[in-house]
Amino acid sequence: MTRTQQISFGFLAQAVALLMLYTAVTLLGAAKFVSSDPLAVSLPYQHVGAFANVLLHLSVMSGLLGGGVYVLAGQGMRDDALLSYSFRLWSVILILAFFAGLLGLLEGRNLLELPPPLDIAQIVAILLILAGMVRSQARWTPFVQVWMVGMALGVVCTIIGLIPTTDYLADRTLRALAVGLNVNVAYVLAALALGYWLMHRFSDVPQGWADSSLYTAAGVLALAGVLVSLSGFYTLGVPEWAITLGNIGAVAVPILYLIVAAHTYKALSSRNPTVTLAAHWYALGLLLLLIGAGLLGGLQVAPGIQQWTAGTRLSDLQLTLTALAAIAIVLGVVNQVTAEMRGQNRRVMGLTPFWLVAFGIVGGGLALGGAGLVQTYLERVAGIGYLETQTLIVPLYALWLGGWLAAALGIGIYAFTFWVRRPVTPVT
Amino acid sequence: MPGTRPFFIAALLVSAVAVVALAGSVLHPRDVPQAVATGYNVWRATGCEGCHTLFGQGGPYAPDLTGIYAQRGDVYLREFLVNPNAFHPNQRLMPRFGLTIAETDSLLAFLEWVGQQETGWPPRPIQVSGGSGLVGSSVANSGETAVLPEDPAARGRNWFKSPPANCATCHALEPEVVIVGPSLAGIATRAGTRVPGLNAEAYIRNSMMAPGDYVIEGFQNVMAQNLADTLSSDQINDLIAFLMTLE
Repeated sequence: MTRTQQISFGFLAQAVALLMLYTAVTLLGAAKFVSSDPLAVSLPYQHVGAFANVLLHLSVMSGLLGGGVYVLAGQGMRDDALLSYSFRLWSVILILAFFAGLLGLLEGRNLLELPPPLDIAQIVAILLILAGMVRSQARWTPFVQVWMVGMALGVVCTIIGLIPTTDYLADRTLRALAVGLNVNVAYVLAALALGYWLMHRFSDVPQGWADSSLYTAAGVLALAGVLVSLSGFYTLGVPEWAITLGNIGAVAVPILYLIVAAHTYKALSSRNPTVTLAAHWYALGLLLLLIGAGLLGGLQVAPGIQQWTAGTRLSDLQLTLTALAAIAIVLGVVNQVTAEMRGQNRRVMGLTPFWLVAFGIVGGGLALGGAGLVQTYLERVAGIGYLETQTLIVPLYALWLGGWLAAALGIGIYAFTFWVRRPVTPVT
Repeated sequence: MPGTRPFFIAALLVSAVAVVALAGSVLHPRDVPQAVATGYNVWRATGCEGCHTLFGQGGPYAPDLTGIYAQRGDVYLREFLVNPNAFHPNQRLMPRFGLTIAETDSLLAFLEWVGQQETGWPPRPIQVSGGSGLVGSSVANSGETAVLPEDPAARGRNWFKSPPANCATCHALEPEVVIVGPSLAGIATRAGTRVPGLNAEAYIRNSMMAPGDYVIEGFQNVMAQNLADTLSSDQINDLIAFLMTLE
């Protein structure tokens, strides 16, 4: 195992560990929606929710970085000191973020909760990797280009989120931009590149087709992701042309995601003898992307719908499912990388965690989506108060919690297997 | 397939142009009053956004507060911030933040400013509902009663949101907004049609003196029953004068 591969495996291990923590914290947060909360004062939702958001973000980023570095190592990237520095810095960021979350020291901006010094450190860590890649990468393959665009956009989004302003409306605009582009475009592009790398591993699609397909899919997802992201501006007051664009986008967004799904179907229907579960995880990632970004994103892009759903569980779910789509692809990468590092063509993590996670997230997501729909009707259309509405949708929250319990169990088994079957023998 | 790389690059460029164009049309940073800026800092420092939304952005655990200042008014919100859980017993609990008076002032200035922004959202008021006014104001806005206006209607507006009447704790002046009792928007027009033989002024007076006589369908008789004892006749007349301006 080369030093670069070790680093990539380290990032992936961090992603799995953070995902476990995220699942546990999210379970705690979900339980607060279901019944009276004995921890309401000692551990209020605002701390739990912020901590979960930070853990999910760092888990996604760790996975995307780890997967990217592993693929680059396979494409001839030499060991580089900058990679080592980046990994150490990233590890420090994770530790500090963990304690900041535990101690309730996170920022009071929803989905931008990482304290500014850690945001800056995050930017530096990603730039170090990109610089190391530029220094040592000889081949600018389509994977490299799309993955790099995704990671660079992540840096830009972090910088946008750091811009200070005392005007709250301007702050909301910057937040909508930073969060929307990061989740709907940056995560998605980097994960898509990893998905296409997986595609080479589990299918017989020709290299040339996969490369051109990646460019097409990335272009399509960039356009769709931007449309979904810009819908965050509607509640802040937008010009008439943006409403017109939104109405067109509402039709276009689901179609754009379906185009990408069709590309992937070709690969999924042309499997090679690889028996790892990379294809399963990639398919799950795509399904979550279709639901989260394609369906919910499309609804959100329609101005006439978004004005009623903004701030309900539907808009919350859109971002969460899109981030979890990236996570599913990362778990596929972890599965594939572990098998390759062990030198064995095996499933490694097994089907049990896959199905538990798939049913848990999709089932729980549908329940939460149902809660969002009912909330939209009762609270926004029928004019019933927020608190009364929340009481009425507790059964749907209970289903959501049940789904998350299954997903948590699956992720726990996945993490345990990942640890037990970690590659201990260097493989060339 | 030739042309896919240029398509990718073109898609990125079009996306960038769309982002810059729309963000540029929305993003107009302005100078805001110092109290509002300070209020936003309080909002962030106390992590309000972890649970609440403003303009539909924020956490999912508590109601949207974009129009809360107009709906509930200054007095109610001050009372609420002192002990939130007294207003919503047996429901989701909000921590007590122990804000100083200066912090409360700036937070309320911030929320008032938020509600004044003409963004066109939400399309209709989002209600918190629930909440019963506390008896005995701990944060009485006594300053407002120091110098009373000459105009009875103006004095009535003052009593509407101040002790001893504090009507704004339960009644909104926004159409269709229900706090505890019905919205009083348009009451001057509506009141005269409620009970045969009672004109608008008489109906309003009767509703204040004997709230249980004509309870509106869908509401309960939970209004204070002793306003005739706690308000002076001048204050009652002032309130009626004010309510008669709400056409």
